[in-house]
Order: sequence, then structure tokens, then C-alpha cells
Amino acid sequence: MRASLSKSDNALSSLTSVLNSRFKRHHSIDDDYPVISSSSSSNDDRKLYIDSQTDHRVPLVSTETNNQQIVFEKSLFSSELVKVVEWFNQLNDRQKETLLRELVNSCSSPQWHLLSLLTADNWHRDCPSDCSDPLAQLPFDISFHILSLLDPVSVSQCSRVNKLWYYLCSHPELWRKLAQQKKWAFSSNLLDQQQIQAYTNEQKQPQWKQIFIERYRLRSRWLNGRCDVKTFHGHVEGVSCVQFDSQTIISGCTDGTIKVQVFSLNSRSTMKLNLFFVCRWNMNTTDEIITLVGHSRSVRCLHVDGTNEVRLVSGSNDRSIKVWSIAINQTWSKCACKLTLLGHTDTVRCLVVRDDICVSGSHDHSVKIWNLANGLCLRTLVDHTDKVLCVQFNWEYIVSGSTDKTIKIWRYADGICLRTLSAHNGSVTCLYFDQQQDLIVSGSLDYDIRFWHLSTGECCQKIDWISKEGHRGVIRALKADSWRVVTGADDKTIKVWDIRTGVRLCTLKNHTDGVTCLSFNDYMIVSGSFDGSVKLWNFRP
Amino acid sequence: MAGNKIKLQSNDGDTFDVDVEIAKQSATIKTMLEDLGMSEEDDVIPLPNVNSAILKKVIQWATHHKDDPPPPEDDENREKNLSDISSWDQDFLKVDQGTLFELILAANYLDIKGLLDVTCKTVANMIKGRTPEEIRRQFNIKNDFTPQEEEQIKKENEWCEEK
Repeated sequence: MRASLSKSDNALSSLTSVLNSRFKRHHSIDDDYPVISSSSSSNDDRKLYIDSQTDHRVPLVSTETNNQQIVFEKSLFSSELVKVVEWFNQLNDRQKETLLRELVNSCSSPQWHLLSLLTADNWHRDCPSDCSDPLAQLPFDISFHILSLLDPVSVSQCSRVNKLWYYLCSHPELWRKLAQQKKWAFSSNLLDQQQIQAYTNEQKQPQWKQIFIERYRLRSRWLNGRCDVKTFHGHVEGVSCVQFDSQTIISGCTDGTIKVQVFSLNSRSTMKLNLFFVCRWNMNTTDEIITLVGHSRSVRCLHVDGTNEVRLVSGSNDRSIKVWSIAINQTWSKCACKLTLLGHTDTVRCLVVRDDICVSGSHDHSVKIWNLANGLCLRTLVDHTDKVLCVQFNWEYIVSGSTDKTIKIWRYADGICLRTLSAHNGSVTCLYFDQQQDLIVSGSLDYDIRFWHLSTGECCQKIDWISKEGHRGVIRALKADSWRVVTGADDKTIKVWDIRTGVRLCTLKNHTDGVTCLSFNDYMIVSGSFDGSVKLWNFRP
Repeated sequence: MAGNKIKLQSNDGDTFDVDVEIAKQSATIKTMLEDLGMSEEDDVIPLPNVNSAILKKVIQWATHHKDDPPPPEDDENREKNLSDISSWDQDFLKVDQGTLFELILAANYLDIKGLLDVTCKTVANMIKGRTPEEIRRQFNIKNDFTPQEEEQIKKENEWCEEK
């Protein structure tokens, strides 16, 4: 009983002190001073509380004894106050500041309120307008350092503050640093350099702010799935493989042909096709192109590289791999089949080329390493128990996926199978790996995308359509770069994912049948489909 | 050598006894001691750009951070992280703007990278994510653009608003 009483007393007295402080604000400091009396009992407090609730103008203290006390303390206070003020006036500015800081540190709510009222109209009175502007007060290099800590949107806001801020925020170095942060830089070094070059003026100075803005807009278009779609017709049947470089789209088709489409990457408006006819089989088709005829059956996979003279490597149902050389310029074009690699005993389903080395996977269950300079097979990797559907390699590892539902990691140097990853419930149809990110990403007949650690073989993430808005059909194509994964599936969609988190960034719908193959860079995705079309999804702002 | 002290003198005449190892977090003082051959027996080290209140805070900071590993080299390619300020530093830097700026100037003059980093980050955090008007209010800055200029600059910055 006693405990509960004292508790309520406490609560009451704290309430009273709040009321006291409210009340006091109507009085001058002089009048207020003696009111704070630690000796007042809780009973007095209670009375006070009731009084002040009924009428705020009732004097706080009304008893005779208390009045006498006021008179006494008031005179003492007044004389002390005069001394303090005199002392204060003798101090220099720094000492005054130090004293004020100390006093302010000792303030509580009522004093804060008073300070707010007293100073509101005097804020920065007689100050120059930049008195507390960090960029004006601090040396240039520090101001610059502070701005360089900010995100681009904040820097943009800063540039609208005033002329000084605008000037500092326009410094090219600031935008160079931003543009070269990993988050904003292109995934492809080549495209990165090309963009910088395109924005370099005659004085050889890159326009870093413009460079950054384009990167920012490009990225936000990817994140929001905003792109222009251009459709190329030409194939009669489903497109089985597609690749593109700065000027050409090259697609292979189940009808056995390879079509080369030339477009201009640099025109800002709609893609304008520059057309070259080598085969001259249809002068009126505005989408044509070069048709490479040579494979006797469907072309299943291809690789293109080179700038002036394009090297094209294609694999086919006819069990062969062919190496082509294509040259295209404004006035003439030529193409020639340079090599035919024989060795696989069934369809060549997938291939990947680096320098003069080609690694291919086949329905004959094997993976082969070829030397493209002389056409010799260097090594055959046998361990899969069914068709090899996809393969990737760097100079350390080869990673392959198969109809046997597994992914195998092989050592490039000696072809030894280091690890077998099984978790998919269907054929592994497509995959990507990156040693630096310690990552394998795979797509499967089971509709799932899986993320694995390359070093341990552990499956760290599964993206299905129920819990993660994944695909609702067989995943046929999967490519990735430093920050995104792009997948195409039988559900007619292409989806883009954040490679680090597995979060879906966008879903692209335009194909009228399943997506079979795709290729992408920092600006665009090119996809092929069972619907016979090739589509270019252009994110360039 | 451990436990050796030196005297640092502020521009308003106060001197502070500080462990040599603590004082050496300031590259400026370190250079004075090592390259210029000053030793503890020498007279006090005068720091003409730092007043006593700020020097006291700097010493307080350096004492708390005396066992910190050397700060990592800045990686230009990484996005800057403004939220990795330790709670001790956050409390330490709960000061008025004038003091904060003076701390930055002192950290710069004394060349104490850790303190400079954390104070600059604190200012950056006061700016980050604010509108121009909020920034002006925060730092008592006058908008000196003409309406035409303001319109023009708004246009220049439209890129960060489009989705």
C-alpha cells in the first residue's frame, strides 16, 4: 500500500513540475526564480496541481511564509545576477562562447523553450549569409571530399542550393568518381571505354557529368524494365541461338541457316538497319542480311567475336562445329567457312569460345576442348550420363550442365571432374559462372533458377515461380554479368534479376512463344524465340 | 618509449600532456617529432591553428581511438557508406555545427585521417537526402539564384527524378 502510494506521488510530482514549467513561462526570470523549492512537500504539489488546472492565472504560491521566502531570495538573486552579468560583459568572445555552451548544456526543457523564443528572431543576426555553410567555411578540398561521400541524387540536390554549391557540385572529378564506382560503371570494359570516348570533347576532356547521367538513366531503365523493342523477322522456324556485337545481330535457326543482321548501335533514335546482301536471295526484304549455308541440319549454338573481320563459330545437329569468317563494310561483304571440326558423335548443343579455344557440349554426353587455330580436339571430358546442354569456361574451370540433372565442375588444365552439383529436378538447360563472385547460376527444365557457390558446390538460392516470381515454364536461356542475370523461358518472358540478392528487377513480355536464347550487354538484350523472331530490347535512354 | 608524454599547446595558451603514441595519430605531430628531430625534452609543441576547447576534444578522440588499426585505403570504386560511424563517435560528434567545423579544420591541420573521415561523414549525413530548401535552412544559406537560373538548374537535374 505504502509503495503504491509513493509511486503515485512521484508520478504526480513529475506532472506538477511539467505544469510548473508551463506556468512559469508567463513570468519573467526574476519572478520565477524562487518558485523552484525543493522543500515543498508532495501535498503542496498536489494542491498546486489542482489549482493550476482550474485557473492558470492563480499565483503559484500563496501562503504567507512562502511570500517572505520570495522576498529574501529575490534580493540575493538580484545582487548575484548583477555580478554575473558584469562578469559576462568583461569576457572576450571566445570565453563568452565557452560559458554559453556550458550553460546550454545544463539547460532542461523549460530553458530550451525560452531559448527558442528568445533566439528565433535573432538567428544568425549580423552574420554573413554563409556563416554556417560548410562548403563556404571549409577549405575546398574538404568541401569536395564531403560532396564525394554523397550519392548522386544528393549531389544533384546540392547543386540547387546556391551558386557556390552549384559550382562545387559541377566539378568533373566528382562525377568521374561517381561514374567509375562499381555500381554505375558498365559491366563491359569495352562499352565503358567507348561511352567515355563518345563523351570526350575536342580538348580531350571527358564530360563526366554527362557520362554519369547516361549511366544513371540506363541503370534506372534496367531496374524498371523500360526499353524499346524492335523485332526482326527472317527465320521461318524457331530461333535456336543468337548473339550480337556492336553492329550485328547473328542468329541461328532450326532451319539450318545462320542470319547476320547489321544494325547501328550508335544511332540514338530508332535502330536503323543498314543492309547488305551477300546471298542476294531476296532484294526486297529490308531485314536481310547474310545467310550462311553450310550446316546440313539445325544450327544449335554459335559464338561471334572480332570487330573488322568477324569470326563465327557454330555448332549443329549435323554433329559438326564450323568456323566462319565474315567481313562487312559499307561497300562489300564476304563470308567463308574456314574450318569444320568433327569429333562429336551427336548434336553439338552448346559451345563457348575464348581466344583460340572452343569448349563444346554434345548430346553424346561429352564435353570437348578444341584448338580453333588448327581444328584439333585437345581433350574430351566424359562423366555426364546424359546429353550436355550447356557449358561455360575460364582458364581454371569448365562448368557444364546436363540432361542428367547435374552440373559438373571440371579443372580446365587436366579435364578432371572436381565436383558434381545435384539439386535440380530436371535437365540443366543453361548456366553462368563467375569465379570472382564465387557463383554459378543455372536454369532448368524444372522451371527453377539456382544460385551455387563455385568453391563449395553449395546451392545458396532457389528462385521458383511460387515464392520468388520466377518463370512458369522451362528456362531455356540464362546469361549474366557483374550485377544482373537475364533469363528466358517457355512462359514467353524474359526476366532480369539482381545477381547478388536474386531479387527480380523486371519481366519483359513481347514474344508470342517461348524464349529460346538470348544475349545481352549493358545497353540491350537480344532474344530469339520459338515464334521465329529475333527481338532487340534496347534500354539506352 | 611507452608512457612518454609530450606537451601540446593550444593557440590560447593552454598546454596538454599527451602520450606520444596518442599524439602520433596526428601525422603532423608525428612528422614534427620524427623528421624534425624534436624530442619529448624539447619545449611544448605549439599548435597555432587549434584552440583549447577543440584540442581537448581532439585529444579525447585520439585517446579513445589509440588502439585502432590503421584506416583502410579508400576504394574509389566502392559506393561510400555513410552509416558506418561507431556509436561512440556519434555521441562524440553530437556538437554544434561550429564545433564540428572546427574539429574538421583541426583534423585536417593535424592530419588525423580517422577523425577527418568521421567528421566529414557527419557533415555529409547532414546533407544526404535533403531537398535544396532543407539544406539552406540547415546551414543558413541564402539562395542567390535568379528565378530563371533556378528553373534552368532544375531542368539540368531532371535526370534523377525520372523513373
